[in-house]
Amino acid sequence: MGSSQSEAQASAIAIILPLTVISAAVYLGLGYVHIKQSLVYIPYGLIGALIGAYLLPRVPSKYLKKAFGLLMIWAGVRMVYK
Amino acid sequence: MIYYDIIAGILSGIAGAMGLGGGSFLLLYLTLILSTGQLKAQGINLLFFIPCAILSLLFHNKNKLIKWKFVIPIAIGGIIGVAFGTYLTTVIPAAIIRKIFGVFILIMGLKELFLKPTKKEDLQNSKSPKKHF
Repeated sequence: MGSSQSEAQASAIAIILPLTVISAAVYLGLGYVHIKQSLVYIPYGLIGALIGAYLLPRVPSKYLKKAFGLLMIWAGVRMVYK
Repeated sequence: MIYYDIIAGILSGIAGAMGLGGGSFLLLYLTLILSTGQLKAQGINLLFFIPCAILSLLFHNKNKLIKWKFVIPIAIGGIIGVAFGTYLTTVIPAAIIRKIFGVFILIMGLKELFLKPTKKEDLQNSKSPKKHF
């Protein structure tokens, strides 16, 4: 669709966010939410998010593509064999 | 042991901010190392992702990396997809759907890994956009 790899991956985050919020709401309704434990990891996650936000526009496309490709392969294998 | 918590959190945040399966590290860490139940781990992971995503989107937006004109229609489609997918799991066993989807993702992943970047993706290697970080 004419976007660079970084744009595609950044846009993907924007797309997934509302879906995640909906999922979280469903989990909340089902009683599977553990806010306290999420809170433990979130500060570190925010630090990581700052690092990632710094890196994303700077890492060349081909490395992002390879990283993303590996991720998808791993995710695909997990889904097929679970 | 707290060091592992910190590392898992940071790595998940980095991956999430780069659109690389944010939370995969945390999910694996919770289920494999801390032996958290799968559903509980997924719940924690979901919640964890939300603030991290919001923070990274603030920067990505400043860096003009988000293509909002694509994001909004696709997100709406995604929401419809979630509703439809939930219905589908009542009709077709989740395991079958998962396997079909898994194969699809696997093929796409191999494509990303082995095919050369297209011209548009190559543009990103040469140009240097203004970075607002």
